[in-house]
Amino acid sequence: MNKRTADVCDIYTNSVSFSGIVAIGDTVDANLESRGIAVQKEGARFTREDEKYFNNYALFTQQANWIPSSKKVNKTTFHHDDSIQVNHVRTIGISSSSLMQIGSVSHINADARIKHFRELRD
Amino acid sequence: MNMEVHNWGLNVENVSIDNVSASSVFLIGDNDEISLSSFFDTPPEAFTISNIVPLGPT
Repeated sequence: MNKRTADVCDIYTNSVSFSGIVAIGDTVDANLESRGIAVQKEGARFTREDEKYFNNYALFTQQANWIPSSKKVNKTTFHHDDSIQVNHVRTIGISSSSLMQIGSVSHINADARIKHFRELRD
Repeated sequence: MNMEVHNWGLNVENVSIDNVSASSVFLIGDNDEISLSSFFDTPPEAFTISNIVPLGPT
């Protein structure tokens, strides 16, 4: 896949956290995976027994049903203009294994699993 | 399947995004293959309550 040059004038990103990626240029392979447990508790006093562990929940060990890439697509690309012009990009947060890419990326494989809990006071 | 792509210009003036999160992708440019999967789970029993909290102003 022939590539184009990324011509970026201005990017403002407030925070890139929890293995987020900001990439300008070309990437061949991106494998993103994020797992999260979100506990919303009334009174918000967290103690030791509020801790939750990933392997206690089947959600995190479940098999993801990926789409079988059955048919082979042979794609030919012609770039008549060899640059990607970006004037201004403003983001507040790139977080939990996310990717902001300006340029080309051949393959992306991303998996996110979030389990939420809401605990109200009895 | 044969696919022919002709790219002329890709000019982005201004983009403003609050948050890209949980294995998401924000891409300006070319790509061959993206596969995204996400599991999201708020089971009823995870919502431990004793009395139903009224949503509206009472």
